[in-house]
Amino acid sequence: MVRISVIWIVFICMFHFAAGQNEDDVRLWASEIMESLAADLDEDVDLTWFTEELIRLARNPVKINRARREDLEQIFFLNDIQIEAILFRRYQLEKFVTIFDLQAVEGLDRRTIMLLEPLLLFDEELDEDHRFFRRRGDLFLRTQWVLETPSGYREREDGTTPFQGNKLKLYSRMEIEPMRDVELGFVTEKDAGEPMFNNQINTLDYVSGYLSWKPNGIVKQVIVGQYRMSTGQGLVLQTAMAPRKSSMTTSIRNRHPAYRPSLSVAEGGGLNGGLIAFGTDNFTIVPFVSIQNVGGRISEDDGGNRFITSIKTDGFHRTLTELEQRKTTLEEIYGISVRWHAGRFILDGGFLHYELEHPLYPVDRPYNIHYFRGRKNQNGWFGWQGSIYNVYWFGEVAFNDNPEPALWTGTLFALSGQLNMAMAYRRIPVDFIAPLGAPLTEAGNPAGESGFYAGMELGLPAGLSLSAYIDYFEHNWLRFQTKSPSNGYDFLSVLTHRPSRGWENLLRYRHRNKVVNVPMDNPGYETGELVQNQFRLQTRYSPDNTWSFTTRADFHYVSRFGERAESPGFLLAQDIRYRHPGEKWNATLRYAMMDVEDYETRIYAYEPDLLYSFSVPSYYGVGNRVVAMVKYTPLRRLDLWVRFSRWHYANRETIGSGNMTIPGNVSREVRFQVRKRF
Amino acid sequence: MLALKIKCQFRHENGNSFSLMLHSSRFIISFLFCFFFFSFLSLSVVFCQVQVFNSPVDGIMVRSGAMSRDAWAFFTNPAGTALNPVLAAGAGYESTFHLSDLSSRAAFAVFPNRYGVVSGGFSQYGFSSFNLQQYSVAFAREMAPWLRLGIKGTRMVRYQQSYGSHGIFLMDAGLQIMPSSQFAIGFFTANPSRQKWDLDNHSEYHVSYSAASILYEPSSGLFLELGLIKEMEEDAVVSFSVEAPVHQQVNLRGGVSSAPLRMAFGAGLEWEMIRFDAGINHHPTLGFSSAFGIVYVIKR
Repeated sequence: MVRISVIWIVFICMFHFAAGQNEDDVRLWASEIMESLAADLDEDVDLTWFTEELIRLARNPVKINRARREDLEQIFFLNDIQIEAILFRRYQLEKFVTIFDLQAVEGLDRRTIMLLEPLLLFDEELDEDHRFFRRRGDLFLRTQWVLETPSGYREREDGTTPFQGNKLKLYSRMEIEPMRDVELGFVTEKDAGEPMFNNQINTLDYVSGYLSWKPNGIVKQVIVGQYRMSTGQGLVLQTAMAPRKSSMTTSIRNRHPAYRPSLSVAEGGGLNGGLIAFGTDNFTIVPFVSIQNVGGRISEDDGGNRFITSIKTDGFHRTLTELEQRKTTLEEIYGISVRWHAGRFILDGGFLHYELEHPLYPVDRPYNIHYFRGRKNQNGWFGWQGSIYNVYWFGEVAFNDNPEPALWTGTLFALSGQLNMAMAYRRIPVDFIAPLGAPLTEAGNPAGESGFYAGMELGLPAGLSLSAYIDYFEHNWLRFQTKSPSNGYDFLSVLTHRPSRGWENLLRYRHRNKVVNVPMDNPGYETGELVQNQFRLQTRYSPDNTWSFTTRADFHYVSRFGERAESPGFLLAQDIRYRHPGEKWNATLRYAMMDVEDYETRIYAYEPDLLYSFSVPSYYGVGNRVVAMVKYTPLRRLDLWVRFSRWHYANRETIGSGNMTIPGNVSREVRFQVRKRF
Repeated sequence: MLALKIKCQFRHENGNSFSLMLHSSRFIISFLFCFFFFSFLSLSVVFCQVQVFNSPVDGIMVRSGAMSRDAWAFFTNPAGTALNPVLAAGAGYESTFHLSDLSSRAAFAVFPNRYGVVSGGFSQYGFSSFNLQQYSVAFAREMAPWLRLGIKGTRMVRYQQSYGSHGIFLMDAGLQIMPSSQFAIGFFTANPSRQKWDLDNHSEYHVSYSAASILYEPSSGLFLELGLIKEMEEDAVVSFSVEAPVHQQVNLRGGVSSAPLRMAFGAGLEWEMIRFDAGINHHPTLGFSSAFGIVYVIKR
């Protein structure tokens, strides 16, 4: 009996050790992928969606020899042409045996294959965990606070304090698989300044979760709780992160999964309710419903009828005014989505009903007269994707009450093994309304935008590669801060040089030309051209998995109405990262010096952050920035992070504005995170 | 061959670099964190030039100094002194715009040992009514064939007729990496913690600046360098410089930099145990500045 117990204990330890090692590799991979993605962003965006995708992908590697196109599409750094090439090669070989077989796939370079390695399963038997009850999961606990005290936490002369809560931001998240095919998760969040556990907010400001069941039968998945959906090209339904223009210039197609559970804490645009997906291998029907309270400013008309003037999406409930706007209106959403694999094409279509308890009537402004007003909206859509010879064609047509449909369509094709191209066209009528839509467009509100996009990726000799896009856009109606119909274009080129395995140099140039208001008293409603030129030179050297050095210089020139801004935005940053070979601990340092006097010349730069937490702050002001972070693993499956950051300005006597004003020119923040893996 | 070996070619050896690095890892991390920790704590004038003394091979040649790789690196990126394998001492003189009141002078010594390279020095700038004295100690180490790190602590004393004498302590740090046999990248920062001078009735931030460079050696002894230097409240300066051997013992140097456009010319001569360096640059409004220096090898 004792011998059996010992063997059992040894077996469990071996299993846990092996699982732990794999998890470490995947974590390393995930943070590198996310860093490279976030480093490319030019604005502060919520990366929660990608974070969740990465965690999920890391836990469930793709079985390469059985994977369908949709499975490979989850690996977002693979473009559609590469996916097609992988599938074609598998068809030729019948089966990939090792990662080395991927070297024969046209268009896959060495770096991409390296990134793919931890995400693919070649020997499927290794992943067959037949136990019914198994325990696998993650628990994250995070807190952060600013050491200085903003004015919102100080008592005013009348005895009131604007912020009702303390300075701590709290976050917890847990996902667990208690048994095969079943997952559940919950997430809580309290922003700095928000009250908790009192009569204003009973628990924490944001509490959400889900339960997911994936039976292997006609019912494919059932989700109760928070979930996200993405259909077509996002014209009607895109509650995941909207596709963006980036240096991955041929990745413009919406490739998010059609539905999946979510633990996002973004308090706008999510779905809470349930869905059921059922069908066959080639045909799926997904009816869904979402019922939740959303925040908004409530007003009453002369007749006593209540209406809302805006929907609050920032998620802050710190002051009495913000608390009054918390969960004020019931939002009901229901619809159905259908997907059909028709030979080489995938067709999808559906219907969406959106309704608010109180009608939405934004304050009338010339630019917003075509915005959604009232209580209800209904949309329908039809999408397609598939290949015709070596051209991949995709698109979506969407409808609402407006007789003119919205259109987003594009093609991807390879002119040779070294040259991939993407072309896309979009035309969205000015009165097209889709409250949950978020397609790839220039403006935040897509209505009234038409545009043409062309992108290319070119492999060159000597470790060089060039990617570029140009996007021409027109807005047929006024926009926020643009008092006239306008047009413009956006051009990006990235020249990358990889002379050796661990060394990468990058030269990036972006040119943007758009029309904005002339900021002065101008009864003539004058607008003018804003031209932005951004240059980035970056070099990164990582001789192995332990050390990484990144030096980066950015220049941002802006010319407004023909006159160049007094000084360009400038950033010089050095990152040093060290990982202990045994993954016991690692440390990251950033030192950056910025000189950005004009808000328009601000520079967005990725910053090292806690695992699965990513920040891309804007560097604005004259001063320097220090970020230091240490991760330590005291016990197996238990990780601790500490992060310290500091802004030190030379040209400011206060930082921030309103209730967030910090007296002095220094702002420091501390973050702690604990992760327990099961 | 009696030519001095102060200036070294960078090396890139694949052999034992990683094992050396791993053995040094704890030290490196402690070193880096200590630097930032102390730089936050250290105490703190804005003066009209970024460095008190511009060496004849770097500052006067309008180079950023991030890829300095000889004993003169003591005045710019301390990591560069890690390449110096000999006990040496040197002195230099700089004449800014050829005005004696704006001249500066410096002396330093470099002592390599089993732990790394320790160097110390003194520099002085100014005239009777306003002057700066700087006492510095630096430590640098070649952590791996592809990595050099350096740190420098400086006690600076300022005398100003109206305010008397005041002192601050400054920390600088830098690194140089060699991703290939022909390329090297350098970065250093001076006074990252933004120390202040607490004068009698007000305080002033001491100058903070950072610099980065990429150095390319297309053939042996020929160096092309693209550099960038940014002082906190001034425009970024982009520089390009060339250094080429015209004789076994003579190097010629040239450089150009932006904001404002400055051009520089200089030369270095190695003879027996001595090396002479001299340089001159031209400012479009204020005229010429020059510097010369001498380095003597005490013991090989």
